[in-house]
Amino acid sequence: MIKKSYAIARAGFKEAVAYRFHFYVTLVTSPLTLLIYYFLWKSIFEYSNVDIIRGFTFEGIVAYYALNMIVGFFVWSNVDEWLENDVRYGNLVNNLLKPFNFIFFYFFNLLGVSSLSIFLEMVPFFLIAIFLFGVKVAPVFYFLMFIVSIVLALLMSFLISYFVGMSAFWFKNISGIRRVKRVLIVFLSGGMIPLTFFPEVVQGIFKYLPFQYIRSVPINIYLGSYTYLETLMLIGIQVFWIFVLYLIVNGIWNRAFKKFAGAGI
Amino acid sequence: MNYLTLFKKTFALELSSEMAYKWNFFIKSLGLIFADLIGPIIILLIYTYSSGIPGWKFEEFILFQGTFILVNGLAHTLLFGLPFQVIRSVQQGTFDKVLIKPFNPLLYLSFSSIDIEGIAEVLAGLGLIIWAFVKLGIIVFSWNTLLFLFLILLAFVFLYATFVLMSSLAFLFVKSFGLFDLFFKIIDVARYPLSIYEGGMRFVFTFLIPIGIISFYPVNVLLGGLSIMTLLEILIPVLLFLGFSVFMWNRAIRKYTSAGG
Repeated sequence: MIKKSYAIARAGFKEAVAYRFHFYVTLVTSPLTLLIYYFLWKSIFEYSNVDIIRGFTFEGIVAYYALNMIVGFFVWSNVDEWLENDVRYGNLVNNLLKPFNFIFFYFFNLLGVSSLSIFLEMVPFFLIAIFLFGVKVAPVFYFLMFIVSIVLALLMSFLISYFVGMSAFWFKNISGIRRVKRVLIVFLSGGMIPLTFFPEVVQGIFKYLPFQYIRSVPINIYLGSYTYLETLMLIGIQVFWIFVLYLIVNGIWNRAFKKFAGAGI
Repeated sequence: MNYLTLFKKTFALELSSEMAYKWNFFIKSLGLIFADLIGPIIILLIYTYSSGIPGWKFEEFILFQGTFILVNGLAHTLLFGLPFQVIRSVQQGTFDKVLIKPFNPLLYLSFSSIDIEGIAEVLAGLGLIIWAFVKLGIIVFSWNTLLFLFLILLAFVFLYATFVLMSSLAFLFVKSFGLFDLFFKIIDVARYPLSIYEGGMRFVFTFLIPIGIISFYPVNVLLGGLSIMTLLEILIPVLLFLGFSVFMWNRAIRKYTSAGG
């Protein structure tokens, strides 16, 4: 099983290497995006003449956006698009012939892509954030828990993408659904603005949704916003969500697959 | 067949291809409006808990974002296809087909790059602008509004120049969609007023890549009027940028060697 998974991940890695130009571009665009947030919040903090807005200092919010981008590189998942293409153009048939479970196949493929992103996006941008934007290196405990947490976040992001991707069995063309999903998840997970900026009622609702565990929670673990115990509990909740999402996805898959016609065979 | 007919035919073709998946088109457009409205929602959250962006009242800033969305929506509807068409046809070696058409290649591509879903974005932008007009009590029939419309047109020209430059660079150096990310991120800088940026960044985006025209100058002029000097300051960088883009395009197209030829 390990050997198989490794082989699939390696294929995903190699596929991503072929498109490495995309990764180089992000190395130019991400500092630019961070600069936009930097100047935006600098002007807001100076104009408002306060040190803290919704729990964030200026340095804190810059670190938040920097980490948001690092997490974003890692949990990025295109699985819904892969699934749509495989269903629409019939490639799914090829994957049927392979000796492993579908969900594992797609996951390890994605893991390969994400591991390339560690070298080409996350580490270089992390250094940029530290040396140019003054982001601090987190204490050992929080740093390690951050890593555990983003791996779990990747799993969650993968399962949600997979869930959305399965709608292709019914609707064929799901580019619209995919767009709504992408925007909604980034927004609800704290990828546009820290979740503390939402009204308390809304924040209360977010606690019961899986989205904040994809970005906001890992970022705040890194920033040391939780106690040790809270951190471990939040990681436990991530595991719980992965379990729930997996059950849902698996349940729907069995029904979805009956819809598959194998167009283009 | 003239360019207008070409435009109409492309429009009809686009429409029928989108209608093949009606529901998807509907959701796609809704998703676009939703994505565009997230900007104003974030602004609302920021203004709730802080004094906001220096020199901009909440309603004024909504006007700013609405203009940004409107201009981008217009470009999305009418021009988005241009760089994508160029890359795809160069990759697949079908660019020859463009060259043998009885049109100027650039104009042919420009008039056949319609993406209907962009209309959703135009509507979202217009909605925000109208809301801000009412809230701020801006007089619709005035010189400032006329100048506002003129500058929006100029902003459209600027985005056109950007897309032409994007296509030329794709031609010359990399035949990759990754390049577009870079351009779209640069346009993103215009999401906030030029006045918040400092130092080199402000210089670059005022004179070299005049993104201020997308939303900053039109709204400033609408709210505060315009002198001849400022008009020249706005106009000249944009026209220079357009000239540079067309120059690059002509160089790029001369370099083209047919794939498989």
